[in-house]
Amino acid sequence: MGIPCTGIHLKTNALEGVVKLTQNKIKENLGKGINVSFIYTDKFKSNLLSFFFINTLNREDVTYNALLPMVLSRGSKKYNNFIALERELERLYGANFDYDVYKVGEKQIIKFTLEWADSKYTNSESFDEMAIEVLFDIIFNPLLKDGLLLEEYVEQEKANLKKKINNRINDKRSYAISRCIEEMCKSEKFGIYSLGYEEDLEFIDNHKLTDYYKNMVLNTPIEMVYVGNHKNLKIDKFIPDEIKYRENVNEIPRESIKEKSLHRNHIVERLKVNQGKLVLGLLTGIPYEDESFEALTLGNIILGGSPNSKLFREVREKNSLAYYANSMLFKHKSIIIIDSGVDFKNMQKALDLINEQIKSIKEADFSEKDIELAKKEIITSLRSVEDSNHSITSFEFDNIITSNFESIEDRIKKINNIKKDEIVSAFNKVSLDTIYVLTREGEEDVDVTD
Amino acid sequence: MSMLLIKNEKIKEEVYQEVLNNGLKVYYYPKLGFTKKYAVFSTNHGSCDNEFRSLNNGEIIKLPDGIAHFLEHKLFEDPERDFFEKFSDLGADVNAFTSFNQTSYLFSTTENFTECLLELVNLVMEPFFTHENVEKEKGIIAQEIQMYQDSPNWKVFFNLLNALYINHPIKIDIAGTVDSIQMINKENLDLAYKLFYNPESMVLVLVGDIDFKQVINELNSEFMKHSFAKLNYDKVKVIEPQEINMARIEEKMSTSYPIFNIGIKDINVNLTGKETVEKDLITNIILDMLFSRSSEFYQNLYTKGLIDDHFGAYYTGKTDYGHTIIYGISEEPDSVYKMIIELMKDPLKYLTLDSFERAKKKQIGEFLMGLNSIEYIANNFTDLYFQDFLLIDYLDLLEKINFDNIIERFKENFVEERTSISLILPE
Repeated sequence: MGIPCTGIHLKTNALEGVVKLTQNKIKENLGKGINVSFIYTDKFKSNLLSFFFINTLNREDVTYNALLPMVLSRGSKKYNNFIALERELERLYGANFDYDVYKVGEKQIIKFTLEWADSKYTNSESFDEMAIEVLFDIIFNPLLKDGLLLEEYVEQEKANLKKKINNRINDKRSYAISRCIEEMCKSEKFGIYSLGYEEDLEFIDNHKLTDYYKNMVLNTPIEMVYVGNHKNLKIDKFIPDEIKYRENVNEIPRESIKEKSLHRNHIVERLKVNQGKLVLGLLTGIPYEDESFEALTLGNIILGGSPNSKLFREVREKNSLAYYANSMLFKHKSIIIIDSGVDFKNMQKALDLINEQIKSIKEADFSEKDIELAKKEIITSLRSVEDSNHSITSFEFDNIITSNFESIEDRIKKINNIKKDEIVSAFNKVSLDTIYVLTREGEEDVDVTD
Repeated sequence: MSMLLIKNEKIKEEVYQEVLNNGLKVYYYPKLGFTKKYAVFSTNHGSCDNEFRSLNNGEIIKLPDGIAHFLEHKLFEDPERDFFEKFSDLGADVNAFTSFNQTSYLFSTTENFTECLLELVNLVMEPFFTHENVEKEKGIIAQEIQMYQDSPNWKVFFNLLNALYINHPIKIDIAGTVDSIQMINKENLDLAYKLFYNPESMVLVLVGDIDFKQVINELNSEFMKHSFAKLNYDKVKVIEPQEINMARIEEKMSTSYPIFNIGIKDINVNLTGKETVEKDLITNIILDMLFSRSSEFYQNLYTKGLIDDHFGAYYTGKTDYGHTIIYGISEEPDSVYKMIIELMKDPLKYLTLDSFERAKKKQIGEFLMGLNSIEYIANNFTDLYFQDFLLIDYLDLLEKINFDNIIERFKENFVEERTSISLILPE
C-alpha cells in the first residue's frame, strides 16, 4: 500500500529520547550489567522486545561491531540459514526480526529487535516463547564449525559490509552531514563512521571475529526493553549461564565535550550532483546533564528545528534558496549540525543568512511567541512518545544510557519554566567550527567566509 | 444525517462514517487510549491528473507537469496567517504530500483537535494565489526537484516507469521538472484547484480518541463558510498500450555500485474496488513467495554475492495502471536480471502451498502490526477508500485468498515481454 510522494517540508526529529516512562514499568536485573525493562500496555497489537549491546565507539572495534550482527543474523545453531530462520519467523505470523548498528554520542550500539503480533488477534495459541527463543538463539547460539563462526558467512558479510560502507554516498544529504561530523570531530571518537572502515576488513577473519564475539558477550553491558501486554514473560532462561554469571563488565565512558572552537575548518568536496549541500558544525560546550541544556534545546528549535524556525522562514520562505534548512542538536555530543540543500551559486548567500540567524538568537532577536512555539513543539513530541512501541523503546533506552530518571511531566514543567535570557545565554556558548560544502566539478570555488 | 458504524469483531476495530451537508464524506477510526489524534484531508487528484475535457464544448485542458504538487505547496499560503505557526500554536504538526493519484493535507496533535481540524479545512478550502507568492515558490520547488535528481533511488524508479509506460502520466516526476514548473501561474493554479478540490473527489479521515459527534457539527458549520466550484470537466482517459516503452534504461550517477529496478507491467487493469485490492494482495503474496528472505531464490543469489539485504519486491497499482518492481544493488545486475527471467519461466518449484501459507501469515501479522500506528491507519484508509475499499475489511479479504488465485495471477502477470530493467551505474 506504500506510495511514493513528495511533501511540503522535511520533518526533522526535534528530540532524541529524554522521557522516563514510569507507569506500568518493571525493571529486572538478570546478571552483572544485564538489565531488562518491561513496559506494559495493551495499546498495541504486537509485542516488541529490543536487545542492546552498548560498546564504546572506538577505531579498533568499530568495524567488528558493524560486522558482527550481520554474521549472527545469517544463521544460528537452530536456524542455520535464511530459509530456516525466515520461514520460522513467517510461521510466527510474520514476526519481524531486525538489527541495527549506530552511534549514540561516542557509544556504538548493536541493537536486535523482534516484533511479533499478539496471538489474541491471530486465532492461534500463544507463540511468545517461540518468538523470543528465535531472538536469543541468534544472539547467543551462533552457528559454529569447529568452534568458529562460519568462514563462508564471515567472508560474505565482509563483502556486504564493504558495500554498505561505500553506499554512504547514495544519499547526498546524509552523506554531507556525516562527512561534516567526520571532519569536525577528526581527532575524537565521535568522528568515527558507525559502520566502520573498508581497510579494516582485510584483517578480519572468522577466527578473529569469533574471539571478538566471545569477548564481547562476556564484557559488554546489555540492556533489554520489552513493550507489550504479557506480564509473565521469562527472559532469564534465555541468557546462557556463563554470561549471566560473568564477573567483569566494561565501563562505558561519557562523551567528551569541546568548549570553544580552536580553528575553523573549511572543507569542499566535489561530486557529480545537481544540488549543492551546505553543512555547518557548531560546538555548544553544554553537556546534557547541565541545567542550561534545555534552554539550548529550545534555542536550537527556534533556530532551525521546525517550519516556524528562523532558518525555515529566512532561507526558504523569504529568500527561496532551499527546500530544507534545518538545525539538529546532537544531545550526547553537544554539537549542532545545520544543513541545507542549495544551488551552487547561492552558497555564500545561504551561509550569510544562516550565520545571521545564529547571531540573532545570541542577540536575543526572537519573540516570546517563538519561545512558546518551540516549547509546544517539544511538549507534543514528548506526549506522543507513548503512542508507538518503537518510540517508547528508544526513549527508555536513552534514559538508561544517560541515567536520567525524570518523568515526562517533570520534564515538561522544566521546559515551560525556561526564560528568554536562559536561551540567549546558552546560545552565546555556541561557536561555529566546521563548514562543509558539497559541490560539483566545474563550479567555481565556493569562497565560504563568515 | 445518519451516522454509519462498520465493525470488525475479529480485530476489535470499528469505523464510523458520516456525510456532511455539502456531501463530503468523513470517516472516524477510533483508537482509544492514544494521546495523538490525526486527521488527513485528501483529494484523489495527484500528479497523474494533467488532462481534462470540457463537457460543454469538448475543449481539452492540459495542465503543466508538477501542478498538483505546486498547488499543495501553495495552499499553505494565506493573506492573514502563517499556517505553520498557527498549527504549532495549537500544539500540532501540519504537513502535506502529493502522490500520483492523491494530494493530502494532514496534522497530528495531542490537544486542540477540533480547532486544528477547522484550520485544516480552512487551509484546503481557501486558496490564495498571487503572482508574487507563485513566483517565490518556484525557487523552493526547484531545489526540491534538484534534491530528488541527486537521489539514485528516486532516479532508478522514475527511469523504470519511463521504460514501462508509453503514454501514462505516471512516468512524469510528481514534482515536475525545473522547466515545467516555470509554466505554472496564478491562472492555471486557480483552474487546477477548481478541478481537483470538490466534495466528490475528497475524503476526510480522523483517527484517535475523538468526540466524533461534536466534530461533525463543527465541520458542518465551518463548511458553510466555504464553497466549492463546480466545473463541468472530465479527466481525459489515458490510452496506455499493453506493450512496454523500452526493455532497458541506464543512467550514470555518483554511486558506488549499480542500482537496479526491474519492472513488470500489469495488463489486468481497469478493475475497481475489491478486485483491485485483491489483485494487489495476491501479487504481493506471490512476490513474497518468490523473492523474500525466506525464498530459495533469495538464499541462492545472496550466497552467490549477487544481492545484499537491499533486495526486495513489491506490486503497486491503481485503476488505470499497475506494475511489479524488484529492486536491489548488485555488482552484476544483469546476472540478477537473467535469473529472475529464468525463474519466471519455471516458477512452480517455488510457488508451493507451504510458501503460500507462510507468506499469507506474514501479511496478516504485518497488517496487525500496522494497526498500532494511527498514521498507518489514516494513510492506508485514505488510499484504500479512493479504490472504493474499506481498510477494516482488509484482513477478511486477505484470509480468503487461496492457492489457486496465486497460480492464476502468476500466469497472467509475470511475463518476460512486459519486463524492463532500469539501471543506475557508477560514474
